[in-house]
Amino acid sequence: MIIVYGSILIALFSFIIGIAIIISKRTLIMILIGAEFTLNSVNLLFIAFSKLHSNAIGQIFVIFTLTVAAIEIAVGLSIAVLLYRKHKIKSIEDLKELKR
Amino acid sequence: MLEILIFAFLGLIILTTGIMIIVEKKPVYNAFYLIIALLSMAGIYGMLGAPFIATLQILVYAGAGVVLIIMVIMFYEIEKNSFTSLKKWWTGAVLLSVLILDFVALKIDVGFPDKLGQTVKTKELSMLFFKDFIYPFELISILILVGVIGIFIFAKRGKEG
Repeated sequence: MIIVYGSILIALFSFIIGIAIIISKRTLIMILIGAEFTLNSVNLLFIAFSKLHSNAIGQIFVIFTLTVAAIEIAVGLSIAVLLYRKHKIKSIEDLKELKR
Repeated sequence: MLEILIFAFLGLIILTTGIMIIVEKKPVYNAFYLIIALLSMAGIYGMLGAPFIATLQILVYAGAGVVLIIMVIMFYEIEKNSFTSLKKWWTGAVLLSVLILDFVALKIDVGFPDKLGQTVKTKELSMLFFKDFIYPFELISILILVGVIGIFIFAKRGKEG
């Protein structure tokens, strides 16, 4: 019982930490790492509630989230590599296309 | 009592590695801390009665995803000292202890009264997956196809420019 509620708390705190990583980092890859952390905390919340309500559908949604996260990391990393190869952009502060 | 101790250790590892990712500057170290956090989350999944998801987490996230991140970090030609001196003994000790605790956590049941039993068997999960959720399954495979086509277009565009 303690473990289920404790894992809900850990999911909450690690979600906050993931948002803090996304806000505080300046590189595109670090922002992707923060997004991975956030998605993982949501997965933990899904599994904790699946255990709490004794319902296996939460685990199926975790599989969906995992697939979406894998696609997201592949597409995001390819965008980062493309930006670096064409414009030599590493940091997000160099993205000035929309500021003009 | 043992399972609460293991759970507290894994949770502390998750929060500590998250804060270390915020504090640390070097990207390779951040990827290493992300591996440790993902492995300890897999341990918690195993304790919460989802061993299949724990295995999938280790395979897909900590196996494929973080390796992809490290490969792209090495493409970026970051300054030289970012790859050296990860020789602190406690990082290896934490990684080894988290790996051992993963195997221990797959054997622990939380002792929570539910009608599914202690753990969700992979057979029940796959029956639910392929009976009730067959249309989302097909849609997610189309999403993978779209992602693969998009990555091909990005790679081709980078080659021409």
